[in-house]
Amino acid sequence: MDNLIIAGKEIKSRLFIGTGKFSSNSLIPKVIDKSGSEVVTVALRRVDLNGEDENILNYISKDCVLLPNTSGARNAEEAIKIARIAKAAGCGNWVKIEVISDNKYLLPDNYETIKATEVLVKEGFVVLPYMSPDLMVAKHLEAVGAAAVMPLGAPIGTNRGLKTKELVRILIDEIKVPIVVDAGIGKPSEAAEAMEMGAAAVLVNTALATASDPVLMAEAFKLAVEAGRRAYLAGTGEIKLYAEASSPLTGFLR
Amino acid sequence: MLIKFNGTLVEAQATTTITNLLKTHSLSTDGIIVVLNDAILTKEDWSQKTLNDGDSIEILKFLGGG
Repeated sequence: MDNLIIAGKEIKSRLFIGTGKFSSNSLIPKVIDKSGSEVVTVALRRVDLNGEDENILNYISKDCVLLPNTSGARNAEEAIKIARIAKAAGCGNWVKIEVISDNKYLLPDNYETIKATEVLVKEGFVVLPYMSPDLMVAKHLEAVGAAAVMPLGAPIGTNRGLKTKELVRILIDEIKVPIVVDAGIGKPSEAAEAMEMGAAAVLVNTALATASDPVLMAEAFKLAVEAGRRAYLAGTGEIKLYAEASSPLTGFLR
Repeated sequence: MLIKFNGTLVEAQATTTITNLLKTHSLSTDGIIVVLNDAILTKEDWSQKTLNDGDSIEILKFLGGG
């Protein structure tokens, strides 16, 4: 069986999803159901003292692996603090490290991410760091014990697809831990593209949340990820510069 | 006494508890995580631990995120 294994846990779905930006949290259980996702990200924030924040955990099936992110962290220290709180709150020991101090492109700080990964791995976390695709950074993350490496396809929320395709391809070829393309995937075809290249999984949030019909889009992404994975396993044919006929070149009726 | 409540300085009654603080601010307890001076409090602590002047309390929750 072609199952993804992260930190000893068998994950049947190679589509991970985020829970941000949905017009209503009530969409989330339906999106999780139609996407077949088993790994779901959440964020940790201060409660709005003036408002009524819903508890997002009420909308996520208990069968899912919760992947709290350290969004909001501007450096390793802040990421480590968030991770420790999430774990102590009883959300399991998986964490997505997200360290961002760039507000324009939301590009992650690869160096602070390495530092946070090293500390949190030692504390027993299953660490999935979100990073800008850079082979040496990915090697460091792997060396300090990251359970997977999550390079971005394009800046968060842009729906621009695999702008970093060639760099992600290098990571897939050279890094042994699973490569999960996270951020920027805007269409199911882009998820399929990542999977065809050999990505272990993709993480999608904005493309689902901002679709006209997020639940139908979740189904589309599920099928795309499955198709892309099958294509990778099937081995795509060679790309050629010149034409090569598909029908026989002899016995013409002339 | 003055305490820091989610980053803001607020007045609070001496020896108040987290439970009282939540009631005063009409905050739901569903899914909240309480951190007092960098330590997570258990639910038992919410009603039992009394707060001191200068304490820093963070009331946190998991929200949707990518």
